[in-house]
Amino acid sequence: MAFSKAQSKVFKQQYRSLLKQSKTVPRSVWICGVFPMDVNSVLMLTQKYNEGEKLTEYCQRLASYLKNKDIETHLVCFGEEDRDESIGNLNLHEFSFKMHGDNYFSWSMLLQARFMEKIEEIIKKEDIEIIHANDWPTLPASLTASKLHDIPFVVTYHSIEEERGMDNPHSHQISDLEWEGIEEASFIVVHRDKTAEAMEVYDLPEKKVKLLAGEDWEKDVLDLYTRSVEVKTNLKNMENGAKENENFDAYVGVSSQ
Amino acid sequence: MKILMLTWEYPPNKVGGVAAHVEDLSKTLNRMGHEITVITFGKEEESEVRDGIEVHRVNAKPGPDITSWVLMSNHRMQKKGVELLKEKDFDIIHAHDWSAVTAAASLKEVADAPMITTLHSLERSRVGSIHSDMSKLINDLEWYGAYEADEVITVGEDIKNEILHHFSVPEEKLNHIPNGVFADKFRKGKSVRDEIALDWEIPVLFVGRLCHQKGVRHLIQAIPKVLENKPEVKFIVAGGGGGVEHYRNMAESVGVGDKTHFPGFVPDDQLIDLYNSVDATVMPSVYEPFGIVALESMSAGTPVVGSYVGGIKNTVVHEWTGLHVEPANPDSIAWGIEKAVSDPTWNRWMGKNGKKRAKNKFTWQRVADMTVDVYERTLK
Repeated sequence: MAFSKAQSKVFKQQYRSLLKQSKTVPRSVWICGVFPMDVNSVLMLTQKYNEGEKLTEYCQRLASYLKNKDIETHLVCFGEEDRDESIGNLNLHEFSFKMHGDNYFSWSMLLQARFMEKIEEIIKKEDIEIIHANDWPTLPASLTASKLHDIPFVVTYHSIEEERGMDNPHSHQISDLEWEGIEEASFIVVHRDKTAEAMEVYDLPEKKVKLLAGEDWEKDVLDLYTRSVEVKTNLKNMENGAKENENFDAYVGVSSQ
Repeated sequence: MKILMLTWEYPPNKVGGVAAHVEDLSKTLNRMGHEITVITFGKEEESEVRDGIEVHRVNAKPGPDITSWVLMSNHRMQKKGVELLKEKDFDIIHAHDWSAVTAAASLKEVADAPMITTLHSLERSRVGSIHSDMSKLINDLEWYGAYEADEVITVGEDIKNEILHHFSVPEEKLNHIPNGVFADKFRKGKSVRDEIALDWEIPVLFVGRLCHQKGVRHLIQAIPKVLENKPEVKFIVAGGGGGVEHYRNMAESVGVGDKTHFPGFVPDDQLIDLYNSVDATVMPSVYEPFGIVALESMSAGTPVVGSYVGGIKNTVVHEWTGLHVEPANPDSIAWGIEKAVSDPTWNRWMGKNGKKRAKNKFTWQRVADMTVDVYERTLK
């Protein structure tokens, strides 16, 4: 039985609402509620949004592709002023922050509380299914939000500290953060051979790191999103199934089996 | 109430006074029926229940500077906080000092709970001025902690005024709650006088981090002046903080090396014995938001010779429980020490008064009651 996007969205909202209420999902939900795990809304994080800059273009290009697939992108980043605005194919959420760190590393870490604040604001309003971090400066807040809301996250490393030469005074701390991202992300996306080679020091399962160097990398990213959501949901189901052996007390969705 | 305390140090890890403060406050709140969870820095990731308090330690590798290490550790504290939030709700997020501010600011958002910040001291006064990028950041984080907090607690009236003027924090969210002491703990020490001094010597104690803020330099400059009139006085300068060698050399260079003993960091049980074995405790601080040493010494019945700064203005009553001296003035410090130890009867009388004052006025129960009032105000 096929489900429409709208049906699927309703099921997932019900599923999440149950998760929030009970923190565990009754076994019945995953037995009867089989719905396609497509993605409707993505929360992307980058440090700054500057037209013409590579990272910004990356987010714009991915957001355009997603928009064509009817998927909303919410991009959170630091800006000169607070603003929430639709720009092109993405919803831009900029937050300002007036403090200065004593160096770039400190400043990036200081931003995390504001990142969190903005993420919370968006998650309260939107049905976010994937968090997509870009590089280490967006990792702490992404990791925390992912943990807190049980939302899978994917990280793109445009480069890593190993590749940059480990010659920054904070290289070891940055590398630690990158490792934390590697450990906790569903997938790690890289776009250059050089970055993929540098990742080899981490001795990761081959399939966890995706080198997307082709022209249609956006499609592959979307596949990774879908796969991450599927796995996360299945795991949650298994976890609850293993924990609980209760009577059926809630039904979500329509049995497709 | 369920309270989440965030602090960079918690016993048995102790460098400054924050660890003891958070532990004693937590224990008292716990006895009152509140559920306390502490997240703190540690050498490794671990969790334990310590005196009824759930303590979680998080670890981050040290960086090239203290600020980056603190910010990384805050990221780990935040993660641990989120993990705990999945199991239980917190009514209050309570941060202690700048070193826990960024984690607290994030956690208050996700927990949707009020944030309380206790500022135990301020960078501008600890180091004398804001003269480096690092000091500027620490100062900014102190401001940030006060700005983000629903209520700010300070341990002294002077530091409250500093925050009011330097950080432009609305006066109505500033609360002065003095520190407390478990007085009984300090009166139970045994005398080790014969281990630290000869029969004819009069031991005087300094306790604290050996750093600029504590005025150790001024004390060492005062020692030859004391010895001119009272050669029987002997100084025990207890504490760590990296300055031990520096101040030992200074004592040697002014010719008082043989009258000055530097035992380094002294654990609590031995410290209690020291308080109970000396004729006076000296606190030559140039900056002291509260100065818990005064209460500990008074609890042991030992008069305090302390600079007329910060919390010492309030804890020590001049010529009643000890003597006030001018900060950074070796002549004044020498005068105070000499006067405090010259008349044994008066010395004992001041000790007795101090003991009473500490026990009656500075209880942890009072501190906890006042803290709960602050918590409750934020929940209304």
